[in-house]
Amino acid sequence: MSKQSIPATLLVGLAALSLVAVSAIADEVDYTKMTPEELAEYLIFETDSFRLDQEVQEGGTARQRMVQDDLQKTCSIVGGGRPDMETLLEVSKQARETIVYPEDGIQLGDWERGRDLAWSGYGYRVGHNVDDHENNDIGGNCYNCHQIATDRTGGTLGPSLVGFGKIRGTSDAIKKYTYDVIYNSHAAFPCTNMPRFGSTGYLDEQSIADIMAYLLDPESPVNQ
Amino acid sequence: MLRTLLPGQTVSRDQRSTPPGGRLQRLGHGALIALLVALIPLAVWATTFEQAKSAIDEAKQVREEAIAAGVSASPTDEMIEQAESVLPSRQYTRARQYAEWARRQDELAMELLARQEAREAAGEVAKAEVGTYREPLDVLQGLIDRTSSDYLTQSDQNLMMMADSPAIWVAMDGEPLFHEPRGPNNVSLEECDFGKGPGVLEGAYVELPRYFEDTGKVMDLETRLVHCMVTLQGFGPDDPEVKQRHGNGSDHMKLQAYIASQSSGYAWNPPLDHPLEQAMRDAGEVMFFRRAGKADFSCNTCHGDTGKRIRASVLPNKNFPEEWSKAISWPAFRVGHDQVRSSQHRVRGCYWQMRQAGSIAGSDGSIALLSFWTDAARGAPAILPDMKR
Repeated sequence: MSKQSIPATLLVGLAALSLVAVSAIADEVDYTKMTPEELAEYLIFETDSFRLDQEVQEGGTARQRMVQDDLQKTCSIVGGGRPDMETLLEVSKQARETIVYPEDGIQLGDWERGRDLAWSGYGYRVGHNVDDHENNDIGGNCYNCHQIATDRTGGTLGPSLVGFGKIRGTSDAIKKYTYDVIYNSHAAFPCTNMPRFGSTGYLDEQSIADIMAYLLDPESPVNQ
Repeated sequence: MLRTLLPGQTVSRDQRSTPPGGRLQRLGHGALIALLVALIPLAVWATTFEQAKSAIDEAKQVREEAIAAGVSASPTDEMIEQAESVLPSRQYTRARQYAEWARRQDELAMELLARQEAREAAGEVAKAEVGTYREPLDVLQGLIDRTSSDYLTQSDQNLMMMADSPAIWVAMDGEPLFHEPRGPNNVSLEECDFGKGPGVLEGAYVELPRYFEDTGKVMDLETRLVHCMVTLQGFGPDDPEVKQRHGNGSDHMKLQAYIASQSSGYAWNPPLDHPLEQAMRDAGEVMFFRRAGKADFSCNTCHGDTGKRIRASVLPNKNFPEEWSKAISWPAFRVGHDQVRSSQHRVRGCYWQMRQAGSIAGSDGSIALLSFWTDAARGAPAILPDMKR
């Protein structure tokens, strides 16, 4: 009754099948004959463990959120840690290739709107409580991981950004660096925990410009 | 501090300011000033032979104490030797520094040894106590006493409120629900086997998820409870008793809190003997580290380090069982929600924050994750019911 192993190609094949067909097969599957990686993929996609058919804000369904892209796969190390240096350099190289610059050059936007976005965690949440992007702007979630200004408490998963522009100035090189790190931080820090706000389409061009202003504008509370 | 002239012979600041008249006359005025200026900085840090000697004696005494305390391999003997070896060449400051380094080295070694012994003793106590009930607040206080964790101590208010946690009342409401005959079949949950025999609850929850022969599946508390309510008591899957999973008023939270609280103080010890238990745990580990979703997050993004904060909240580290034990001690009263919450509610919340697809309670995916996270707390005592921010 049990298969000796579930090759990856078969898993991909299964993923394409309808739920009805899969649930008929599910009883035939022996979890103990799979590698942990195969079983994890199987559990995520074939066992009704997640609300995969729910529509998501960017269009399509939550299923595509669960499918790992190359970077997510490369940067997921069971047990923790990071890949070897050669792999990291490749991640960094590929990340640089994803970065698209605004047609009229990198601009600093409105730091006040940028502050609101930096301190907002709204956006892209699905499941039992779906964020409606019609009601609220998509936030950058910056405060969850970074201390940004001294007037409110931020997280410590990422480095402190207090005085970001005051320390670095607003030269073109600094503006480009800041844009790159927000757009796809893996360019500078391969396999970082930070989301790719530009290359995944998480934030639009205006929001990135506004958050950059919050970080770099001498008037911004970040630089007081 | 005094400037040394000869070994064992010193001159005081007073003597220097009133030097013998004859000698003074032989020196030019400028030379005197130069000498005094030179003496001032030297006087600040210069060491006498006595000071160096007493530092060495002190270091030797601490060395003996350290040996008596059981500090083994240590570089201090060598450092003391070095201190003594520079004495004849009048390098008293250096000698004293060597001696002080040696003393501090031994003091630190003794302190570390004492701390390690205290930890081992606490570990032995904890092991001896596996299988005995303890109040949740006592368990938490015990963990705080034997380790240092900003996560465990982050809320004084919660510690103060724990003795009156609303979760305790919710658990008490679960007691009659558990023992009274209920449902269309008029059967009590005393007939339900949570892994240690029908109706046996003491220490049952800390050994979940586990494999159950009767279903051929690995099940967590919530899933097992649903199984018994449906198959034994005859409730339909859509009856509110089964379907309503969240909130202080739900049968589920009352029953889960009651059942789990019978394991407070017991060490987490989920079985991995059955191949399915091992397979689920291992797949759960892969899921824990699996980055996906709109923001590239995995569970490990937030739970792989100690002392990190998301906003103002200190995050628990799954590599640190004393910390992780509290993290997985559900049901718990969540102060911010004003509700008692379950493990499945926590998993759902984390996937929501990670911008991945919504997790479905009772699914094999959720149970695999629970298998891994319970294994990560193995050996540390459960705090049930807990109170969280």
